[in-house]
Amino acid sequence: MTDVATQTEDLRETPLRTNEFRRFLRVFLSRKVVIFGTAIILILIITAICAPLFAPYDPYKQNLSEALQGPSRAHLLGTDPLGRDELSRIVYGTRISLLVGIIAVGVAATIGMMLGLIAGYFGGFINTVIMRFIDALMAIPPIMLALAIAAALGGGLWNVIISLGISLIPTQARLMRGQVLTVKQADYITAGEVLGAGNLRIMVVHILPNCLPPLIVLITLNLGVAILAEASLSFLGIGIRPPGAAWGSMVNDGYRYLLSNPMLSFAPGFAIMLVVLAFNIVGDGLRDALDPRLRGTL
Amino acid sequence: MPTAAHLLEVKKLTIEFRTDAGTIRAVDGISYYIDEGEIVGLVGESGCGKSAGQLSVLQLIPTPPGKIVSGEVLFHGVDILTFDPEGGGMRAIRGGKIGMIFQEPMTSLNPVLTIGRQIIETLMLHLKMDRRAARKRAIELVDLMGIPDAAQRIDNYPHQFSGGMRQRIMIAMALSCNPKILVADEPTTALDVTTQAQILEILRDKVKEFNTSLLIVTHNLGVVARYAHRIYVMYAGRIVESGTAKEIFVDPRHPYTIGLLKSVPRLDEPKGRKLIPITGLPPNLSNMPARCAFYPRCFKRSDTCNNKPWPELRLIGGQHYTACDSGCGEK
Repeated sequence: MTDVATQTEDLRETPLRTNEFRRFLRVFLSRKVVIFGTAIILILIITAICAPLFAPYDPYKQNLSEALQGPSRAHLLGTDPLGRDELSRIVYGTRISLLVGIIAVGVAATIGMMLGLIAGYFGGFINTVIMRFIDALMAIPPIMLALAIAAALGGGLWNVIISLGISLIPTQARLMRGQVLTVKQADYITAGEVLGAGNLRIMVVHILPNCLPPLIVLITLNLGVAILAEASLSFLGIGIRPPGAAWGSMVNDGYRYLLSNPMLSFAPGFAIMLVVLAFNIVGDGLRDALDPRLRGTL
Repeated sequence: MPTAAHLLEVKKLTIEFRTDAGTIRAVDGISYYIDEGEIVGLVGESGCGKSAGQLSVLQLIPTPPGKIVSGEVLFHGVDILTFDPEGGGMRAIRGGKIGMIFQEPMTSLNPVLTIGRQIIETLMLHLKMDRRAARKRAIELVDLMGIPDAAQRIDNYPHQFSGGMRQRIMIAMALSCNPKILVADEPTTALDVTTQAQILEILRDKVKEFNTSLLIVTHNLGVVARYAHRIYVMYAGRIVESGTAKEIFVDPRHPYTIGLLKSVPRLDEPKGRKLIPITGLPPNLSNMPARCAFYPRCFKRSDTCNNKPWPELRLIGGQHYTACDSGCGEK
C-alpha cells in the first residue's frame, strides 16, 4: 500500500522535475569534442582577463639585444624582430581577439535581430525597406566592406569593431526575419492577440524568445567569423595599429622570417585557428542541443 | 424577434479574402446575436467561414489578404468594428470583454513561458492587479478548472501538460478577466472523445459560474445539441437556418440541416439505420453562382431554385428562420 502511494507520488512528481536547462546541458555536454571546445573558450576568456598574470614579459617592451631569438627557456616562443616576447604578445592578443569578436557580434546581433523582428512582424512596406537595405549590405563581401569602412574611418580597434559589426548584420537579420515569419503563424500569437496584448508585447514577449535558438547558434559561429576577419584585417595592415598585439598583425610581422623563425607566424596562426575552431565546435554543439527536431536523436 | 439590445449583435457581416484565384467571399452578410448568459452554437463544415467570422469580430483577420467589407458588430450597442484594430479600445475588448479559445490546445500556449506567467500577465494587463494578487488568482483559476496541485503546476511549461489540460488552461486564461462573452472555436476537435466531454462540461459549468455568454463554433452537431440554447447553421459563408436547439433538431427545415442530421448516428433511433451522407463537395467560394449555393447537393432542388437568387432567411415560427423556399420550409 505504501509502495503504491510512493509510486503514484513519483509519477505525479516526474513532470514537475523535468528541467529544460538540465536537458540542454546534458545534450550539450554529451559529446567530448564540445566539452573540448567549451574548455578552450573558457581558457581563452580566463587568459584574456588575467593576461598580466599569465604573460611572462611586458608585451610592448622592446629589447633589441634579444631580437629574433628562437624558442628558449627564457622565451618559450622566442622573440620578434623588436625583441618583444612572442608568448606575452599572444597572451595579450587574446584580449583583442575576444573583445573584437564579442563586441562586433554583439552589435551585429542586436541590430540584426531588431531589424529582422520589425521586418518580419510588420511585413509590407517596412519589410521591403529593411530587407532591401540588408540585401544591399549583403551584396558587398564582408572583408571589402570592412576595408572600405576602415579606409574611410582609419584603422584602430574601434573602427575594426564597427566595420565588422556592420558587415555581420545581414545574416543575423535574415535569419531572424525567417524565424519571425514562422513563429508569427503560431496559434499562441493569435491567442496573445485575443487576450489583448499589444504589438510590442507580442514581439518582445511572445515572438522573440521563440526565435532565439538558431540565432544563438549563428552568434557563436559569427564569433569565429569576426575573429578571423579581424585577423585578416590586421594581417592586411588596416586593423589593429602597431604596437597593439593582434594575432593577425603578428602573423604579418613574422612571415618575413618564416624560414629562420617560423614560430613568429605559426604561433599566432595556431591561436587564431584554435579560437575559431573552438567557437565553431561550440556552435555545432549548441545547435544540437537547442534544435527541437534533433531532440532524442542525440 | 425581440428588438431589445443584445449583448453582442453581428449585422450583415461580410468578409472577403484576396487570393491568387480571385476574391473569395468567406462570410457573406451573416447576422446573429448573443444574449447575456446564453450558450449559442454556430455549426458548419470546414471552410464555411465560421472561424473567419469570429476572428473578424475582434478585428484579428490578417489584412491583407482578408478584409471586412461591410457589416456591424454591436457590443453593448456600440459598433466595435469602428475601433482602431491596434488601439486601446479594441485591446481592452480582446481578452477583457470577449475571450476566445482555439481548436489546437497544443499550439495555443506560448512554449517558452510558464502557464502561470501567461495567465498572470493577462490579469495584470486587464485587471491592473499586482503580481502577488494575480498569482493568487491564477492559482485559483487553474484549480477551478480541475487541475490538481495548481500552486505548483502553474510554474510548469505548456509541454508538461496533456492536450486536455492545456485546453483547460486556455479556458482559465480566457475566463481570467471575467469576459462577457467566450468564443470557443472548435474547442474539442483536437481532443479525444472522453476528454471532449470533460472540456464541454467544464465550459458549460464555468460560463454559468462566471455569468458569461458562450458561443461554440463547431462542425460537431452532437456538441451543440447537448449544450447550446440556440443554433445557427452556416453554409458557404451564409447562415441557412437558425432557431432554438429544439427547433433545429426536432424540426429541421433547410435541406442542408436535414442532411447534416441524417449523416450522424443518433442514440434515439432504431438500430441498423443507414447513415445518409450529403453527396458532393462544398462549393468553391471563389466562383459562386447567384443561386442557392447548396443547390448542387440538395435532395429537394427544383428548377425554380436554379433560376432565382439565394433565398433570404425568413421566419417560419417561433425563433425558427430558414433560407430555403423549396416548399420544405412551410410548417
